[in-house]
Amino acid sequence: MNRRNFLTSMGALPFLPGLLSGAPLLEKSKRSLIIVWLDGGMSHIDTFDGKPEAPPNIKGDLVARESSLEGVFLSEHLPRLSKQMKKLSLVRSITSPEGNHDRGSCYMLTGRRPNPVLTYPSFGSVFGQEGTRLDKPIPPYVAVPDAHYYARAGFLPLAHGPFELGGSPGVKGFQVRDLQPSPEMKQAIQLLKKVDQLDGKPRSAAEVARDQFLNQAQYLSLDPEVRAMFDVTRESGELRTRYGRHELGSSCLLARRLVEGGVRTVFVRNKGWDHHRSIVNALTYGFPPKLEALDQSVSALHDDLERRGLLENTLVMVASEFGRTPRVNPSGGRDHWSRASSVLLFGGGIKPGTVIGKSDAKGEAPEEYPVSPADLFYTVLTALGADTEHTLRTADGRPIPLIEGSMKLIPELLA
Amino acid sequence: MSSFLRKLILAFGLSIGMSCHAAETSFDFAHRISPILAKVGCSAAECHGGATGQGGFKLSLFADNPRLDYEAIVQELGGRRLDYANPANSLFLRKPTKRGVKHKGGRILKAGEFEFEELQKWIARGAPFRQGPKEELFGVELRPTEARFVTYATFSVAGKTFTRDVTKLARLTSSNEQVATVDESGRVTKLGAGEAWILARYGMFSARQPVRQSFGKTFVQGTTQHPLDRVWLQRLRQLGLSPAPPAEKDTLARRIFVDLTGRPPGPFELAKFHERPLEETVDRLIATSDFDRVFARHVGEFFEVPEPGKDPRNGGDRNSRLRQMFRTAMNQKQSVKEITRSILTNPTGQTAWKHFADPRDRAEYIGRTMLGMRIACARCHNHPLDRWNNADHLQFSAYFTDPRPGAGGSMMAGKFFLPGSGKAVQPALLPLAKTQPPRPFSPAKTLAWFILDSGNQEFERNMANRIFGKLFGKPLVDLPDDHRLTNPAVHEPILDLLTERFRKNGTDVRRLVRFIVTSQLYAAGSEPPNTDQVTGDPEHRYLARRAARPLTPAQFKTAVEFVLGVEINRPPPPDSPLAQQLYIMNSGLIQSGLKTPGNQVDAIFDFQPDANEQLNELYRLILSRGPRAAERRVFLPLLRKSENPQKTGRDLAFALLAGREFGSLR
Repeated sequence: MNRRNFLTSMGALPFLPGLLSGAPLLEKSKRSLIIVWLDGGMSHIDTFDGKPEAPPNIKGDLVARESSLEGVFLSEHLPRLSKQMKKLSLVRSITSPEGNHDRGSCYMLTGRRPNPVLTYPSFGSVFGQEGTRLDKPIPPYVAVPDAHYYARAGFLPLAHGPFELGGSPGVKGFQVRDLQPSPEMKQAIQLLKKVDQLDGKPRSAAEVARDQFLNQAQYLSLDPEVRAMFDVTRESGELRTRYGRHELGSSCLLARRLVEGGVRTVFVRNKGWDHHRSIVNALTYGFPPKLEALDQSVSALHDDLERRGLLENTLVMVASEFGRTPRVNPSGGRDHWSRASSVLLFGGGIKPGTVIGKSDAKGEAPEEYPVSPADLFYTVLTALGADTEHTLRTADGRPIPLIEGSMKLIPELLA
Repeated sequence: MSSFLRKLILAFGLSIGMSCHAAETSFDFAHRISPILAKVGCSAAECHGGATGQGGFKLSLFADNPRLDYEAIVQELGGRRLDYANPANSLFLRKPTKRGVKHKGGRILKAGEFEFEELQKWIARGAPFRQGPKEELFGVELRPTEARFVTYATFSVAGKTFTRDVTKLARLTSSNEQVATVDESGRVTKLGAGEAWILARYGMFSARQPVRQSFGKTFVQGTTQHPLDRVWLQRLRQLGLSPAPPAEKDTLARRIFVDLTGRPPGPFELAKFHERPLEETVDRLIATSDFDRVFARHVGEFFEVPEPGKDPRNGGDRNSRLRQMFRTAMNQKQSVKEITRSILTNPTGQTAWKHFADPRDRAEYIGRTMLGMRIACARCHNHPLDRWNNADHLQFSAYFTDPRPGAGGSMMAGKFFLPGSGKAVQPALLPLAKTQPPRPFSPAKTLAWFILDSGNQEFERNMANRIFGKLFGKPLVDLPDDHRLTNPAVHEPILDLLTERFRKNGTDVRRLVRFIVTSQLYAAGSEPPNTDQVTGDPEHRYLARRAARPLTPAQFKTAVEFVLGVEINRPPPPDSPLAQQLYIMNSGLIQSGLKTPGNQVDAIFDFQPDANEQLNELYRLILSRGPRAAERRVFLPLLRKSENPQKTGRDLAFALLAGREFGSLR
């Protein structure tokens, strides 16, 4: 194939972002993905991989109780998730050699360890990008409120990157950045269309792309009904309270609205999980307490998706770059620990109530069924029905397989 | 009879039987068998070349270690992989042919095929590693003939050189399979118009030859004095493409002003542009401080210094010092060589790379930015396409250690050790042409000598390519930090000419820019003859026509500020294309400029009473051209009928500034 010129050789541009990648991804299903990213590294022992039998300096000050799923111990601060657990799935044996925030995030979010030459694209940039309809150009990938560096398009064109909302939906009066046109601009925007029309047809591929994105921008911002997709205040007060009126809750609620509106991947970023000191305080006090917010938002997301019949086609993944040290450090915190961590999954393509692997008695390393972030990447894309045979192309035309031969599928996890 | 004895006898027999052709009797596993392992894919990373091999059988990646591969095939498992009595029955051959045994990699060899037969013959000979005098491979050549492209390898044996047809052992590929494909025997099939390079790889060498197929478009011979245009027109003739008619003068003015000064021309400058000879305008623009500012930013980008406001954490101070250094250098009319020398040798300049703690990162930075080469690929292992191997990479990296811990932040002070073995690595320059400095220098000076003065042209080629890219939106070698045999320039002769010019004029940016900008190539129009096919258009791929390219976010903001004549205290548009359009439409970037008292748009409506003139001036101010008839028909009545001409004027100004034409450089 003619290297980089391939993408400009396909004549007209009916579907933009898909085309810019070189070839559209063929997909069997129309599933969507919501990633709840707990930025900083969630302590696995204090959340989904409790060790009630371990010595005090390991099990920590938080009590773990057996959940609705036999043999799975969740923190007592996650009561709702604990009850739901038989409908959720858990991988408790994620293991990776990358214990630095950036490197660990890179591995989890792109399925590839950091590479000095290439930055790989993340889930949302390789999935659901097969094309945006001209009459309804919903962005396929949205980040709430913003994307991690490694949750972006990597070596793919910028058009594959997330649309970042640029503000927290948990804040009163939240608006997506630059989405709302000022009322006095009505005539000016009409004139803009006229000016472009009088200019005739676009002169180059770059101008074609600009027209497509302007069209998308106008579609999203000019019609109040489309803009409403980003407005969580349209939901009932009861539901908003059920999700939690904090950043994580509102972001999860917004993610559900976006998926409903046709967005294929939503990256929900929740910062502040890097608990090097007094981890108990951070997880259980403050506003909102981290664990309470997590429990509230994610359980509400599950129930809401289920009630609306969206669960079957929406995969939710709760993950962070690594786990935290099993041993509590002298400042009462836990440090980075990548040898063992947990990831929660449910919804589209995932078999409910599945538990993959287990960590050893001290939560230090997988005892059964070690799973690498690369294996998880492969499995999640498979569950979503993505074309795992697809070959990506770098800017200079180098073919990069979406799934490497060394990635292993976790068949037990698939519905 | 032991296999050893059998081998001895066979080898003896062979050497007697063929002694009359000294060169032909020589046999070397590395030159006859390794290429087959690489070619059919046995030694690929996903097969036996992986770090742990596959199924207990490990070969070196890309077959770059023949000795290791030989031992794995012949000696491992007590020699069980080979059957000398019945070579075809060897496990080594039964596996890849899937004869009676499983092979996870599938059937990759077939009895009767060349590769299979060669391997079988080799086993029948007794699987020697080497027979006869040692053959030294020192080059590969690709020769096009009527029927096929023949790959010749040049060997030397005992001081004599000879060549051998190794086409069947070489790996042949085409750089553009829409234009031509090549099969195993070197036969080339032309498929479409354009230029493709046929690449042959054998051992650690590669060679290339172009294949062209004319577009068959009528070529009109132009007359030209400009050396660049002579090469350009000759290339178009080769490809059967016609040069586009020159751009309209207004369009050219906007192109030159934005490229050279970062902003469009003002109405007065536009009028002057029409009166003066082109060269005079160019000379005036090149002498401005705007030019210095624009090219200081470009040079900064060549050295990977981010734009202001895009600094990484903790990098802001360092980057702003470096940006200042580039500004000063451009103001002082320093050459690119001088700027590069200060990055290598002076303490402020060195901050461009000293923040990398690992000497290997430093070496890779120097490779990318100064030589336009990615040496990083050789960090982990050898690649068949690279000029550098793993050892070259380590030895070059050894130049970048600091004399003592903490001196520059290097984590490997003093000496650089071979990972694993703990042996100190001796610094060595990359093997480019001539690699010994005339006399011993300090490490920094040796590097400067190597990159700038040692006679290789990589530095000039890299920089000329990048400067061309800034003026055309796309460099000739794309990606600019990845020059290699297998990534050819779209027009090699143009890059050769620019490299030579740049070297001769002492790597002076101004003179190279003037040379390029005064050519017909630069002035060619961007209007496509058929607007339905702008995306797959070969005419701008091969530079028969210029392509309209978007203003960068920073250029866009500067252009808006210049047109309105006011400063706008807002960041330039974001990079993400959707966010960019939303920002231009709704953020208030343009609106706030239009509301600033004393802006140029208001001035038109304050001082010019006639609607027709208002429209003329508005178009000249914003789009550097007068309104066309259709535009006049639509917008003139609007201005005439408006109850609030100033508001209508602002709205129209917004529409023109946010419009497709303003955001594009045609």
